[in-house]
Amino acid sequence: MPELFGVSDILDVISMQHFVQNMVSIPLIQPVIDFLLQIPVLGYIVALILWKPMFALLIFPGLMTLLTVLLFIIWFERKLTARIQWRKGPLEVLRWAGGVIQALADGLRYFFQEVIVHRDAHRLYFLQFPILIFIPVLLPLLFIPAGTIVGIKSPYSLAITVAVVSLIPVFIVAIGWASNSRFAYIGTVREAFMYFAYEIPFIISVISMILVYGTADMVTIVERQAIPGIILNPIAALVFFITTVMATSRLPFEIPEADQEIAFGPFVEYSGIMFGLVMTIAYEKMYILSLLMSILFLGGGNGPAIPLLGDISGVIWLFIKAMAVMVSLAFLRSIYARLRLDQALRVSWTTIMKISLVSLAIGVIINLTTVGVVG
Amino acid sequence: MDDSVDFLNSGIFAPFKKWGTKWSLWPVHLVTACCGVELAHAYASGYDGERLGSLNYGIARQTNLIIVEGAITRKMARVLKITYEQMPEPKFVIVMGACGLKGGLFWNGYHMVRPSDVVPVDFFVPGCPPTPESLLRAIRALQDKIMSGEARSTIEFEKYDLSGIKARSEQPLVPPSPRYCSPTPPIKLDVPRDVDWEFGEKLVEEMKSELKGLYKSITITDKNRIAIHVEKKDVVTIASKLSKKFDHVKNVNVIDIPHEDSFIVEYQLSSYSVKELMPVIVNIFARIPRSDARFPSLTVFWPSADYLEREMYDLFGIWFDGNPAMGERFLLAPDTPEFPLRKDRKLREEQYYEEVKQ
Amino acid sequence: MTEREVVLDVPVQPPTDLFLPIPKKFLEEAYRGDDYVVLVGPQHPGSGHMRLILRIKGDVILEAIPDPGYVHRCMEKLAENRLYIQNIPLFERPAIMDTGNVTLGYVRAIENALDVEVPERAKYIRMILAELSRIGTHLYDAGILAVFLGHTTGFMWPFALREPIVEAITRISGVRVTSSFIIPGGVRRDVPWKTLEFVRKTTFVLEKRLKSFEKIFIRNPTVIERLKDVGVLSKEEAIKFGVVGPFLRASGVEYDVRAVEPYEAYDSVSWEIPISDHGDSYSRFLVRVEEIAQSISIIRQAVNELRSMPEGNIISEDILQEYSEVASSDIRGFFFKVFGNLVLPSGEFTSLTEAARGTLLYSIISDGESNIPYRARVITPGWYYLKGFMEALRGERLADLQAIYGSFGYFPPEADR
Repeated sequence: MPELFGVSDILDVISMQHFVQNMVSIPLIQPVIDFLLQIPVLGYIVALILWKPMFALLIFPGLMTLLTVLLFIIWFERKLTARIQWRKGPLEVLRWAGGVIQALADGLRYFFQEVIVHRDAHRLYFLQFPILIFIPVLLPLLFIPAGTIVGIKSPYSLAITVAVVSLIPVFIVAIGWASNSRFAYIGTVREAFMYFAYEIPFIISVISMILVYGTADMVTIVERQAIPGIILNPIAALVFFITTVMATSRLPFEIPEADQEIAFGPFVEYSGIMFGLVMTIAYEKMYILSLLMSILFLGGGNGPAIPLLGDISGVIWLFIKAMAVMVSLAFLRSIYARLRLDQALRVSWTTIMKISLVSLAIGVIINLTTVGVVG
Repeated sequence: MDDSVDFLNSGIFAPFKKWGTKWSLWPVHLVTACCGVELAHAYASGYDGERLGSLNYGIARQTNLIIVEGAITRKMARVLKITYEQMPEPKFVIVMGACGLKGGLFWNGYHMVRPSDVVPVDFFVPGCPPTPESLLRAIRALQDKIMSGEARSTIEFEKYDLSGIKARSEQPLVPPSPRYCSPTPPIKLDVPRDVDWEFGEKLVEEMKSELKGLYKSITITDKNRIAIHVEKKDVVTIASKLSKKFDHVKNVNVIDIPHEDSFIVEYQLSSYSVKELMPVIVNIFARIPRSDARFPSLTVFWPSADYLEREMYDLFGIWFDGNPAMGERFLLAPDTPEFPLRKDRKLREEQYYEEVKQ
Repeated sequence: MTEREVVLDVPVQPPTDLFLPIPKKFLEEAYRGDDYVVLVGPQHPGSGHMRLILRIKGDVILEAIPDPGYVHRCMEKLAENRLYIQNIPLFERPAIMDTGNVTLGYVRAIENALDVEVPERAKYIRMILAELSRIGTHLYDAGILAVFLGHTTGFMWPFALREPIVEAITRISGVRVTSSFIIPGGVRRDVPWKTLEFVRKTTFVLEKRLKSFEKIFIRNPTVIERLKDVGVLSKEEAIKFGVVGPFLRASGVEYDVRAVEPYEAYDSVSWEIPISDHGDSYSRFLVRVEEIAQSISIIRQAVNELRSMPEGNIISEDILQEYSEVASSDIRGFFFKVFGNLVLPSGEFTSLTEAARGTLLYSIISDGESNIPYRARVITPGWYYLKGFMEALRGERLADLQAIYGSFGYFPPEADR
């Protein structure tokens, strides 16, 4: 029978001492932090923020980085596409920096725009799903280890992350249902079809990586990647990448939201900040899946340690790797045309499925041969 | 509710709202007429409107700017209104082209509406069509308007004093030769013409023997053109005979002649499958009285005539017996006056003004 | 004739109701068959200025009916009220990117009526303008097709390639798109050698850049996947529904007005008619890509021919008459003097022209007395192949709607007139 928490235990947990024990260490600005910790209230706040779980939630890979990445990647995608298309892209908003705050302007415009709820919509669900969707988006971020910083340690962190990420399409289907419009209906059906098509190869590729490393704990996975996963099991990496493209509905698999065909499908009726929220879902998902990909295949926070930055060094390596994945995803937009639903389904139920089974076989073989070494 | 809107427009968030709106003017994909060509250029590689933060985007709900590209018809005016109403506040309208301004080339058309009567317009871009530069300039002007709150014209027109000018009734100066419209002209479609065309003479002989007793006259009107004058009752028989050689309809045309109280209905036939007949156009025409504007539909023989017949019903009110879509509006909006191409439907005419020399 | 105000029976107020009719029978049938009715357009990212009413079962289009007329600008009626010469800019408006061909058709109908022979130099200049417009239109359609398939690079590059063409037309005529440069009897102005040299150089630029476009779009596997075997029109169907132009040739019919009934100088330059037998969307697209190459070759030959011709004399003397001394190389200042009193002989004059998207028909009915046409009939290629377009949609998937739409390059302002 475990003991119940007493008042003193709770006080222990929320005491500054508790935070300081498990704090992000950054040698470069350590004197500053030490100074700040002396100040009564401010010190407490600094300790709280730098407490590793809180750091993971708020700074990296959590809210702050998520927002920055959203603002950056939307701008970057437009800019990259523009360069490929012999033009400049967003520029005038901040000329000397190449218009880097374009997404901020768009966001502000959305934020202050009227939100229209049309007559046929289910008013309550129509408004709440775009906000509820942040649960499956933010929750996985707590489990993702950035070097030594990790929100929640769990032996099943990879399984939990994949499970929660898989919930996102359910919310999109709900959004489409609440919209109650013709194109939203078609888009929702497409989303559901695509969901079943990519989810199975995606999970198989993740399982094959779990077999390769012999664990579902992402911290351990990163530790065991002396050789990056992409070399151990390149086929699983390929399947993961392609299913990521499908899951984030990037071209050529931008089928549920095909704007020229069904006018953004499930999101057709959203306006104002609500559209801003639903439009970023795909980008948020892309961010999480890029982080996952860099952890599973690219060695996560591993990399030459920068002594001055301490714990932040892992953060930076993970960030760079995730950005590389995201950029390569953004690059696809300007190269491919959109496939048709039946073509995409055929590709994923046949070719990708077969390849994913091959990756599973590789995973099993590696697991059997290395079980003595790792175990 | 209104208070909170006012607060957003003038409270402490107002600068952010203005700034965000200024750099994020997304035009909705509502293409209305031919100026769309230059709009596409303005947003493509050459001029790249995206530099200004303006991105051509999907549908009304997610955008905040309508660029009306030229002429707005009676049918499109409804769409424009619906699109405008679907759009969330704050929203703006830029009208491109002379047609959107005062009607332009089509000012006295029966199907035209001025966009400024339908939606509030922020800026007009004159030109036919305006160049992409001037469209981008309008977007700049709109950005300026959002920030400063007042609409400033970016061009100055020369001012003319109209007090010394009066309308002239007899002979307008521009153009120097006035329009002269003969009141009761004779209309003939089978004016013979001397051409050097052996194959045609042979073809006419063939037709004459084939259509014996069914035609009034067969004339060579030009090289590769043959006109067959027939009676309305014989049209179906003739069509069934000609449809073996001529496999498609090039033209279905109606000519309204009120002073002779008749319509001329003509079908121009040609062939894709027989190589020698490819350039030949055979014109079957018949006169029908204006009071009984019915004609047998020939879609049975030539499905390609379907939409042409429907168009002719729309414009002239000729009822093509056998075409299932008769009685429905096809091209025209529901509230356009009936059968506008009949001669008794007059259009407004232009008046010429001239400076009186003193 | 005296000018007087005519009382309008046309209401000038904007429409008050927002009702746009859908055929009732169609809806009832769809309801009975438990089908899904989808309205695409006119405000839809994947449609032009028209509405398509689709009945779909699952993902398959059972029936498509068009709702055109959103850009019906009453051209035929307006033409009955204007001088022959004033109708040139009017009839240019259906397809302003195709300015050369559209104007050429109308002008040829007038020339045919007056029996005017156009000077040789003007013929070649007209041909260059027509072919430049043809390339421009095909590039425009390629861009629209690309954006309908979600391929934005495929949209931007052809529009970037259109810029040099627009520049060439500007240097020839002075206007970007609506040049109205071709007039009865010839062209407005002579084109100096320097401009022709620019046009020739432009063709090399185009050729080079088209190769990179081919890599990213034409041979893109996803594009081929989307277009191949989609929206097939067999030869018989294409003839039956009166499809025209490149779309007819994509179905295997060797019909090109330029070859069948040669006008201008098309019989003195060498070129080929590209033909495909498949009749699917991809071949409709490829035929037009090949036509661009042919047009480039025609332009180069025409420029070479013009090199050996003396400058000046680009308007027929039969038209100019007493002004032939002053206006033979530049009509400026004499325009209304020459053309104001143009009266056509009595009869019907039909001209066929191969515009970029297909056969363009002008039929002018003159009474022989007025200086305005009694009736002017114009049928644009878009209006011809609308029926074939609708038939090609039948039985395809909903997502193919945009692929087929783009492959036909359907341009509603052109079809509605």
